[in-house]
Amino acid sequence: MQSAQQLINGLMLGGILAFVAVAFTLTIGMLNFLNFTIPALFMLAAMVTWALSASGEHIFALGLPWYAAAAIGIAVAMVASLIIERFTYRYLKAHYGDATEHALPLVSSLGFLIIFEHAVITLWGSDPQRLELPFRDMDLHFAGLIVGIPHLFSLGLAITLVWVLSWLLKRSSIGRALRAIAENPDAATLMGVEVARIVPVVFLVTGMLSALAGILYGFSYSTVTPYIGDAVATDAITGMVLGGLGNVWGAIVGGLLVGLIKVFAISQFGAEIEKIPVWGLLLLILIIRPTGIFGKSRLGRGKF
Amino acid sequence: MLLRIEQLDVLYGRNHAVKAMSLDLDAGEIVTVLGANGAGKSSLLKAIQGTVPLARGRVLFKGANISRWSAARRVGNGLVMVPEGRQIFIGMTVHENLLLGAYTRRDDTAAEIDAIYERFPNLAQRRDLPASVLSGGEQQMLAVARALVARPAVMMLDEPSLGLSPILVKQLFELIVDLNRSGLAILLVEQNTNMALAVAHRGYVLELGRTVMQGTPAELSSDEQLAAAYLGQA
Ligand SMILES: Nc1ncnc2c1ncn2[C@@H]1O[C@H](COP(=O)(O)OP(=O)(O)OP(=O)(O)O)[C@@H](O)[C@H]1O
Ligand SMILES: [Mg+2]
Repeated sequence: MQSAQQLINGLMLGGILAFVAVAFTLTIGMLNFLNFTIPALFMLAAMVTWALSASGEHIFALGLPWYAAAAIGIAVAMVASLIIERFTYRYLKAHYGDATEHALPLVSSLGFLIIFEHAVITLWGSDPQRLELPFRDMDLHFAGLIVGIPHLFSLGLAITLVWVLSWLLKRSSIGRALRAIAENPDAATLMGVEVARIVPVVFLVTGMLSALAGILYGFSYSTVTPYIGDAVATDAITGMVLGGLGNVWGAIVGGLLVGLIKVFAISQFGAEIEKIPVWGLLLLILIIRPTGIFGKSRLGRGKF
Repeated sequence: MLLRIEQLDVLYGRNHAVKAMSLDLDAGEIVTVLGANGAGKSSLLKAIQGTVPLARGRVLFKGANISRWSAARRVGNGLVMVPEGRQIFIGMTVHENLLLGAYTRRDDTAAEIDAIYERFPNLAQRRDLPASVLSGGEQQMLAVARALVARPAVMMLDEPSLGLSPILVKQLFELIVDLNRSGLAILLVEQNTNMALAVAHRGYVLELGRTVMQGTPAELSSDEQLAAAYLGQA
């Protein structure tokens, strides 16, 4: 029973990690760009949702209903993601030709991560805040097991969204254009694809996924801090690598596996050990199978 | 004049790849641009397409100055390139490559794609296979077919015969003539001088970015210098 509950908890955490892993894998697969602002958007959306929905003394304490606050949180993250595209990927591409051949976008996205974190700390301080869902007590109970509604919802939503995403990538014109950009941006241009106009779509989608994940995390664990992005980043990156870079379904499976490993490791060996299994796993995969479980032989490109 | 290039310069830093190039392409024509490696042929086509910036000069297409248009917009208006090295999407199926060729089209292209499959039965057979399984010749056919689906007014081809067997080269040039007869204007960059002059109405010869000669195939092939340099009949 104990371990059945662990299994459920692990899958539920994994559902959130899967979201973030999908966001990471999309920018890697499409743009060959490890976008470190994803955890910042995750945290930003959660903090904005808390600030707008809670009542109190803090700035923007509007006491909005949770869904309105969440919608604004998602919108803020998506706009922030567009700004990031403008100043990391697009700017560097315009100045150096191929942005993906440089570590510069990576470094500048790390810069954005830190700036967002500290902007949020300046606005709202660094204390943990409570984020409550009105129907929080409606956890499902069956056979002595507890399944959190927000957890269950996030797992279902992650799978649905990835299904929609992979369908769009396969079947729609814009999806084909995105895959063309992923494989060969110059040739995509020759097909009449306005690369500079399509790339922001990737950032909008990753902004949305990261924001949804952040908000669901906040509702699931009832606590948000300006640091939740850091914790989730390495777990999600491990999930992405596990599933194979650029593979959206791989990211889902990878995210779920990391969630399971984390929960079991903590329950077996205690919370102090938390980081070792995930980092250990990441290093192990990189050494024995850098293409991940589902990756093909070539890294990063043409995985859709 | 369908396509007119005026005093066009291409610079890569201090490397002056194309110098004061002027060129005309009329409706119904095949015009060829010849030159050795590094003469600036690809740079010229890329500048016309808009994938490298013009340092100086203008590109006029259907009477409009398109020098500031994005490359993608030029494609949408019927100026289409088959690039050097084919550049097909090998991670996608043959059919997806053709659909990408139709990317700028708003109307229904299904009938045209069917017609393409009729013209290229090899592609039809491999319709749902990844383009990576195609032979070199089939890849070149796919690159041309993909450009055709965009319904071009002008098709630019950059060394399409490169790496093809003599039989395939012959087929390719028959295709080029065929497309031209059905009304397509073609700007053909080639190192296969004999074949290019056999199909072209006019030609230009580039040397280190500069036009050193222009004229009809007869004029060009009777020139001793050109013959010595490119035709192997010194
Ligand atoms: N992206 C680039 N950056 C810098 N220099 C370039 C670039 N592309 C081409 N060049 C230079 O411009 C000149 C012309 O090159 P271009 O590719 O246009 O020649 P080409 O006639 O197409 O040659 P080939 O027959 O080998 O394809 C060469 O000196 C080449 O080194
Ligand atoms: Mg060339």
